[in-house]
Amino acid sequence: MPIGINNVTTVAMDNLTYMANSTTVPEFMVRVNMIIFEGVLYFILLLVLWVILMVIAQMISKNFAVNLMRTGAVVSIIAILARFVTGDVYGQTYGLLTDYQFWVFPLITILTATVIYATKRD
Amino acid sequence: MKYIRHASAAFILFAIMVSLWVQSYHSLETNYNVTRTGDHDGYNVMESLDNLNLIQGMNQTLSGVYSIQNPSNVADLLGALAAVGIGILQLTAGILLFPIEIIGVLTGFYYIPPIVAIGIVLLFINYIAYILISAYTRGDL
Repeated sequence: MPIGINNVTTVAMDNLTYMANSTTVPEFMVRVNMIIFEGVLYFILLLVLWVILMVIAQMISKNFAVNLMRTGAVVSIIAILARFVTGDVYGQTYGLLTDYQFWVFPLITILTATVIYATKRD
Repeated sequence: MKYIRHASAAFILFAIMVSLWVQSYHSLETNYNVTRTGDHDGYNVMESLDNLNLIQGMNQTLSGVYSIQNPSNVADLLGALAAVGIGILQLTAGILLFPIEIIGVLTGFYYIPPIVAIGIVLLFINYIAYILISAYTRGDL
């Protein structure tokens, strides 16, 4: 009885072999992201992190907009670091996030901060 | 918005944060040799926001004020006064057109057709209006 990965097409096996033969850890992370998850893994992970941080912040103080701004700032910093972790996938350089994915976090944070400070009551 | 100073502070904060993000992105781009992706008309979204009338008007006014403080001749002084005037006009236009310009930048960068953006905004207004009307009448609609 065969044990392990069965019924894998040649193309998929080639991709997996290419991914496993990475020389550095960042390169491996980028290849996993691009080959298996088609470039959305770290974007989804950051969104999930943002939700978790928001839930924790809401437990401490119930102020949705301010919590969104503060946790957004933390996630934006992690996002810019992730943007500049790069690796080579089939001869082309990719980051953990694309520019489209990366700018979502600072944009929401900046616009939330603008609204919060423009509508302050006292 | 109880005081106008809050709105002014918010716009200044917005301008500073956008400029900081543009600077951070440029320096990391240079140092890490990253090829940028997803530009719209040659700019990424923060550079497009940096080109808003609001921020450009602020820069124009400040540079005009600086020239007034250090004039070399009368023509220079007149030019600086004109620059301040134009800057303030641009700043005022930037404040009035701020939401429209922001929507333009975001829809351009993410390739969202304007009609879809307008539809989403209308849906949200509708949604919030129903909640507010429901709360006001204290009953289901």
